[in-house]
Amino acid sequence: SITDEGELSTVCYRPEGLDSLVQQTKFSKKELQVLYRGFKNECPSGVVNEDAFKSIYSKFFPQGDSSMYAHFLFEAFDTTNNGLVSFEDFAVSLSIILRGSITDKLNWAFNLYDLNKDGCITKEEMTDIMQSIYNMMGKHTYPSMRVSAPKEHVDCFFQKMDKNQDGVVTIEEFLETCQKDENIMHSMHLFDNVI
Amino acid sequence: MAAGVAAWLPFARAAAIGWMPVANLPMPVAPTEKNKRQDELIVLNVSGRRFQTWRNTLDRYPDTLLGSSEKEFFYNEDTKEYFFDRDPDVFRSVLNFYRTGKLHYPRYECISSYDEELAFFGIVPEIIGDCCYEEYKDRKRENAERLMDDQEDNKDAKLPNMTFRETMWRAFENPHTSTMALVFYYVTGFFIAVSVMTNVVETVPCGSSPNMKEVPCGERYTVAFFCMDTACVMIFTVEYLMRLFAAPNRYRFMRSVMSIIDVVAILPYYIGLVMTDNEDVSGAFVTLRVFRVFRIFKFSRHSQGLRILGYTLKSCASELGFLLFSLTMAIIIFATVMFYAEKGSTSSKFTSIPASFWYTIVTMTTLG
Repeated sequence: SITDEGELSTVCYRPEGLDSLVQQTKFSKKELQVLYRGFKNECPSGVVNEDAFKSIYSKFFPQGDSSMYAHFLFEAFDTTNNGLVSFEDFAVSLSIILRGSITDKLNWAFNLYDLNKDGCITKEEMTDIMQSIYNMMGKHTYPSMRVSAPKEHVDCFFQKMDKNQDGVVTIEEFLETCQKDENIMHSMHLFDNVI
Repeated sequence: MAAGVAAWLPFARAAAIGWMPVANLPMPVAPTEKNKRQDELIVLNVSGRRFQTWRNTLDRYPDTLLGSSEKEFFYNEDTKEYFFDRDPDVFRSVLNFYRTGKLHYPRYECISSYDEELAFFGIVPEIIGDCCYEEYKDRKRENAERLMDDQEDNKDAKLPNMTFRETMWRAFENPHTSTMALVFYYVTGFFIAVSVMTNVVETVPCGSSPNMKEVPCGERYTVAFFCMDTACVMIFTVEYLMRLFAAPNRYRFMRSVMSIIDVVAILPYYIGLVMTDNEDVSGAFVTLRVFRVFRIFKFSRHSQGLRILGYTLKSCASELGFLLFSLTMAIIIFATVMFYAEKGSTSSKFTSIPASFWYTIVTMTTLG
């Protein structure tokens, strides 16, 4: 972490051995090496804090304001809830997203949407997420989005997912609906050849 | 995109999981890299010193020699390495650029050799990091000035098709171009010296006649000194007019420091001619004669060292200005304090704050 005066703290976090990480994740040794080299290059202290996360993300999505989405992502990555993402957290989450089963991926996505981690997604949470995604796309999309587009999208989502119409989407409803939806299933296979 | 951030690409792609379940349409397939090589070490042999780096590191900057396929021209099949017949010391900076994304300029390195290496490896010098940019720019400027000086020295051959005006200007600016210029240079120098000497000698008390008190030489031999002064001023006027005629940009010439000094040096004489023997104005006229001493500054055309002194003062003008300002502040503060401290006392010399300025200045400059 960086103190107020801008001095670099002497926190240096080292991940556990390569072998235990290979067991925890579905990456091979070489892949973990490549990942770690990139990670260490950008974050020599061994941990990422939220600001670094946001700045990295903003470099990939320069047109819009990706800070909100990066914040939600950070919360999802930070499994230990201490404000820092270590390489293990990073590798484990990436392993789930890129190499996990469809159920694992959907579970992870649900965890991302469930902002207060109480097991169900409310309309407000979904609106926040949707707004952050639309913010990230920026104002210069073609065709350009209406201001009310996020809200309509949320309504459409809830209509699809909320089977018992109780105003919240639980994990079972989410999994059930997604597994029946062909588009979503097809999209999930996108991750197969990343990395 | 910063080079190091490219390593986070899998993470950026993975973040797409966030909007996949909410997307209404199926997502397009991500592009796969065609020749997805496994990351491998490559050896760069630069004049015998071997550098090793990952291929991905070099691929970060594909518009440079090492990042593009241009390096294949230097590949040595027998030793399976890339051989470059260049300077290994400068290559360190070049390779560090790929590693860290920042190009540094080492101080001990010669600027032109550094530029050559950068040009060879296809790296634009403008991306030098802020930490080293000032140094690089300074050295480059010095080098450019040195080159310009060298070029001027080598201009022995007369440039073709120079008008008379241009020849004159060149002669004035650089006395070594022709004999006439050299003669002119020495003559004006001589007359400057004579003029300054006259001003000085004018005030020396000459031998007195038995019944009169000692008078300065200026009053004793008025006519002689006046003739001398006239001769000098005529030479200076002619010189100034000739320079004005020859100057390529007359307006700029008139604004330059040297021409202002010239004008100030000869003006008192003309004003003296024009003015009548009016008592009131003659006081001012005497003051004007002080300005004749400015003729000594005309020597700066003849002396490189004096000009360098002038440049030095100009370049640290802001620091000197600040010094003056802080001294003024201190003087005002202390003068005020002294005035109010001594206010009670009746025989105090500090009758007002400006009156206490003198005391403050004299004390602060430790004159006493």
